[in-house]
Amino acid sequence: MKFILLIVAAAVTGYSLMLPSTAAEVQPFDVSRLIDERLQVQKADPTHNADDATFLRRASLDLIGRIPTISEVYQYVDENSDSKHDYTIERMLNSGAFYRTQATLWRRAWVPQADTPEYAAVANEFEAWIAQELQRRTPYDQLVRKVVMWNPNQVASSELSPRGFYEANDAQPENLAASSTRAFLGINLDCAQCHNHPFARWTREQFWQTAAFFADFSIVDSDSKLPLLTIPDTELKCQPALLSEAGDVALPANATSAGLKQTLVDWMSAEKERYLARNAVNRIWAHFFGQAIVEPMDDLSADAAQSGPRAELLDELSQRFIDSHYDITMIIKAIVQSDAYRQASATSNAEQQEASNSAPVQTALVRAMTGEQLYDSLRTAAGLPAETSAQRGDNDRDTFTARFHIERSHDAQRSISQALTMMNGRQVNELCTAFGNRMLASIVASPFMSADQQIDTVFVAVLGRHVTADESKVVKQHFDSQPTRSIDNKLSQLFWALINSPEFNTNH
Amino acid sequence: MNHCQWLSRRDTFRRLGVALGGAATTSWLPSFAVATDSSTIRPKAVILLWLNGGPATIDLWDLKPGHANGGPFREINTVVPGMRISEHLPQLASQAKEFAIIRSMSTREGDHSRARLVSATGYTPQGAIKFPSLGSLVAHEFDDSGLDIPSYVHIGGRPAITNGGFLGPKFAPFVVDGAARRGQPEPSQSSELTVADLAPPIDVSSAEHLQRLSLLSELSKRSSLPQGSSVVEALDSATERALRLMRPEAASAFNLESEPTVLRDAYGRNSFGQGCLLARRLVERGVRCVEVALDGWDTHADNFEKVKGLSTQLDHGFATLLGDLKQRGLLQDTLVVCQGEFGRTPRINGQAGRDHWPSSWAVTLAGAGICGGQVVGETSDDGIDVTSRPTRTHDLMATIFKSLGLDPMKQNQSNVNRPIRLADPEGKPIEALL
Repeated sequence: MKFILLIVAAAVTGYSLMLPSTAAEVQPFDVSRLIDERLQVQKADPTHNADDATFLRRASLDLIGRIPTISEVYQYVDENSDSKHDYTIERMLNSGAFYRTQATLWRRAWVPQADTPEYAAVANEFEAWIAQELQRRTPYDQLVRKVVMWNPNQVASSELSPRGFYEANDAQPENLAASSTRAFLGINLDCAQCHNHPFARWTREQFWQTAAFFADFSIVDSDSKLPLLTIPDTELKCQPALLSEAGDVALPANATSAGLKQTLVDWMSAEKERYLARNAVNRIWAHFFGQAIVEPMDDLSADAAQSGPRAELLDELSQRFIDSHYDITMIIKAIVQSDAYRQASATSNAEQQEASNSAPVQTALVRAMTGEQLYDSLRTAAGLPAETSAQRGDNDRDTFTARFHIERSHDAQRSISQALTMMNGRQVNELCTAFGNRMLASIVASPFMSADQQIDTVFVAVLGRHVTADESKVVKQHFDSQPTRSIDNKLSQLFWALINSPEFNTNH
Repeated sequence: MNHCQWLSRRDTFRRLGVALGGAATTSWLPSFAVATDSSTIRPKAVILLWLNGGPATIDLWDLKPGHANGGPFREINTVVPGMRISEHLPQLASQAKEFAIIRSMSTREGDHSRARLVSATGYTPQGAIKFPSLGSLVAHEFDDSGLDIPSYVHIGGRPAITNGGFLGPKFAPFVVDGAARRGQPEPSQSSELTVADLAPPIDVSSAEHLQRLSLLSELSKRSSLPQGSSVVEALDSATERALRLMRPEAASAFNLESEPTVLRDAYGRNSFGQGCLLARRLVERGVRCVEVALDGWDTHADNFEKVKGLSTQLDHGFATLLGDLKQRGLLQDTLVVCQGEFGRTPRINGQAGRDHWPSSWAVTLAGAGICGGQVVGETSDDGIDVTSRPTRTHDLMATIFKSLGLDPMKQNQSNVNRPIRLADPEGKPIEALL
């Protein structure tokens, strides 16, 4: 009997040792409180919070890439329950749209070249691959490892792969080095490619030593057996060398291409300044707040980014991220459940500042919407299901998102062409007809609705909130001035006016 | 922006909409003609005639009639002694005093995409830096917020860079498409130039459009969004500028019907010719950079027939443009650049074609600070080598900026927080041309 118990005990112990430690070690709740404390958000004052409609819309856009549907709005806004806030966040975190939204975020961070026509073809597969990995709960550091370790020389198969990263860099060592350090570490080596940069730590030699990790073995040093890269227009040759020390990570004795890349990712995970974690947390923060904790996002190694309250906040959150074994969902939950994220868009926007490291972190900025968010939101407002683009190409969604592409949400500038398309474009105008707009069609087909209800429904569908008395009065006056127009014509005008309003076109 | 200004801008939506339907009462002052005080640089404009696909400049500007590589074309004299060009560019030959030819362009990019990017920006693509194209840079330098029309316009096909690079969407090219509708003949045959989405769709009447704008205006005034947000400011500004562009005075800039038929014929009744005419109109109205694209130069096969046809279009459009600009006194403040992304092989291939060739090709410049009537640089008798004054893209860029009265070394802040000069610092302007 005792013998069996011993075996069972050993099995259980062995089993729990085998299991990766769960994220239960780091509770999102604790990290939320940390954020609120550092940002000095007054928990006791709920009047600073955004109202339910605003919060739901903001969280939907940030988590699932679109505005809420009419029924989602009613379920949330008109319900009085303590748990609705947490429940709704859970619902969104478990939806396919969450993984697709995250995939676009990371693809854009790692392969920004795919936003240009030249490399657009790689975007689709790369995003699909990321979404697949995230659904499998691959930790962030493993995700990065898989991208870097991918072998560009292997035979192409029908399985999804991160090949896009190599293809967008033309598999050139110098491009891969610059992209890897910027995308995964938030270190800007661009300048060091040609000369020693006056303001940063990195030398030209260091740049090419990093690039050498991706070199082919056409020129090899006879002593170390490591590949050599020649700095263009010079006679200098560089071997691979790590940018800093990191525990016992060292170059392998018998180097291979895969072995070198393995060393590089091992170093990324182990190096003391923890750029891998800090860069990830910084970019996730920027997705939810507009500005990153430390700006610019591409240069975490700059001297100005090493000290001060913002750098400290980033350090603390990065440590939690590492402790959670690089669990992206943990950080996202912590941010979205914090009071800082719930803040109303305050008049502090009037003094929206550059994110210098002495200025306090700003929350609740009014942000522009990405092309993807706009397109998916227009379809949602019209009561249409989201499209899942099987092939990236000249389809409607890709044309639209390319036209409405923005760089950063907190300071994006709309162009005249974009404004013209929003007012006069074919796709947009189709959504203004009862034929192309299920929501309008269903109102027109519901004669039991009063004028007030009709107007309110359009507001809920497009802006995610009920109409105010003032607005309702204005709309009714506007309708009454056109007695000969049909109801679908008038509602179409309302729909057009709302989708061209700043309120629809921003994430606030 | 204070509350009063914000409200009044929202109100302008409706007033701008009214101007659409009714008669325009205010006349516009071409900002180009506004007197500037002596302390400001007189703004200049660039018209880039973009020969898309890599033109066989060996059959346009730098012929080799004595050699097997020369092919069937003959040279003709121009009004400049010693300067000879293709027999298929006779009108340009009579305008030769106005332009200069650089025969010694020598670049490294033989791939269409990369070469277009390098030509457009003057820089080799590098990581995440979003280099703006020449048009964006020039529009930014001579920025004029009083202009109703966008300051950088692209006509025909698609520009190499569709955004404003790190200068932002305000300096993105505004694209006038040659291909109006599906099922139309090829853009180069159609002379209907249209601006995408400049007017509401056909089934939306102008009365309907006014109703929409009126409602938008009324509702926006009651918006509960916080004031002072730069993003909201930018949205309102874009809507306002779009509505301004829709106004008859501005929109009419794109309407060629008001030009004399004789002139329209002289430019050539094709997308390129009419595009050159539109470029003159836009520059007259203060637009800072207009690109006019002529496609079809990627002649891997049947080079000579194709180049002959394209040369005629180029000849009529370019020469008429020069004459037109000169006659209106605009040429001294307008730089005209005529180029593609690379040249074509001196050796003729098996399909009577020429292939990509960046090692030696030619570019033509006219107007603004350029001393016309000369040739800079030479190639060998077989056309293969540059024998004097090799010119890289950055040298060309430096020359362009200098001829516009700009300092090529001036810096702008980029999106990776690294300052980028107008022209790559290795570029040296060609002093002989300036």
